[in-house]
Amino acid sequence: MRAPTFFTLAALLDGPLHGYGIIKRAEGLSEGAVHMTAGTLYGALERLSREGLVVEEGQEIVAGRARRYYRLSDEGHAALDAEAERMSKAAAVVQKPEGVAASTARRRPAKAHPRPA
Amino acid sequence: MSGAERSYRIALRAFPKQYREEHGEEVIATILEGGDGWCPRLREFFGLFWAGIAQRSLAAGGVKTAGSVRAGIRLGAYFLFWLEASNATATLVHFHRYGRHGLALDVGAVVIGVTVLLALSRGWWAAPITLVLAWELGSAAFLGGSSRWLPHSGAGFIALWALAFLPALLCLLARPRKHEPRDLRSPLAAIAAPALGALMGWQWSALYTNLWIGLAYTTLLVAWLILGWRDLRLSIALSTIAMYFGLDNALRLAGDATIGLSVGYVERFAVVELVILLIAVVPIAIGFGGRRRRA
Repeated sequence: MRAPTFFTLAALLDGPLHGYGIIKRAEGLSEGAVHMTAGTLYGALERLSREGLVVEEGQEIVAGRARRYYRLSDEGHAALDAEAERMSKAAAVVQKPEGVAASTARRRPAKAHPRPA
Repeated sequence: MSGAERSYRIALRAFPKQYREEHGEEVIATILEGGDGWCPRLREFFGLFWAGIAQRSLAAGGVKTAGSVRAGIRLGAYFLFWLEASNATATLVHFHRYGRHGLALDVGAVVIGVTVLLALSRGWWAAPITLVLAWELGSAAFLGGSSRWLPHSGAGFIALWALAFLPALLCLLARPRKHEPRDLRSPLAAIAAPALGALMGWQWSALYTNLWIGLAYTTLLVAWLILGWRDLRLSIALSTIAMYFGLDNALRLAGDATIGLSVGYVERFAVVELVILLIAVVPIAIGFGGRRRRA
């Protein structure tokens, strides 16, 4: 799952949002790392809708313009959980507990430093 | 309607009609909500345009087709840049015909060619076209070179060159992903690029000497059949370079009185161009048609 897709799903965890709401929420959740254009967002939403991970949740007219809301489906929740689990396992590979990290460090070959004369 | 909205609506035309009717207003509203509404943002404009192209290819042929189209166009642009370097190298070998001026031009072109390949191998997609155009401009302005890619006169020439560069431009607009340059490092691309480049170069010189042109195209056809006509990427790449050389040669025929515009010569040129475009385009059509039926 690519970052824009992951954060699009994550943005909908707290409830339905419209397009611009998803962009801002994803930006906030990723601390500015993911800044989607509308093209990226709607490409992702189209794909996620087709896969059944996101569903449309009604629309409203604001200032004469259509605003459609999207929410996570049960499959979407499951996919997000699975991806989070996968990322957490991947992170655990490099972020080991204190003792393990220390022993790993000890196993690393020490760099050869020239001895002072 | 503000200028920004008008621009975004133009980019929105890249989407399929059905999608536009269903989501068009919503997409525009989302973009305008995030901007000042008057000045269009280039990132949004091109992002929307590319998303539309991707949406169209997805609608036509499934998930893998979008990647194939993008990779094919890039591969085509890669072949062109490779050819530029090959041509320059070939000219350099025979530099005594051109003198020092020509030597300076060709050394520059070779340097550009190598830099282009290095840039592409590192995934810097915007660098090649910038470098090559910079060299063409520089050589035309300061070295008295006769640029192959810059128009010599008239708006029609500019339009034709713009068309020839459209695939390369699309290649730049399609924001590359990290895994994509692997396509260009594959053994197939490594064999295909110099082979097609050399064949196209042969065909280019054949146009002037009026020799072997039919054989060059036959060889190209055979090479392509061996390399795999079922590969959508290669088909698109081939159509990209065929378009480029078709326009290049047409302009040369039209603009260079020394070549001679005998009727038989032009007809033969038109036929071989048509054949090469057909062999490139038909498999693309079959590929899309087949995928659509399966979908």
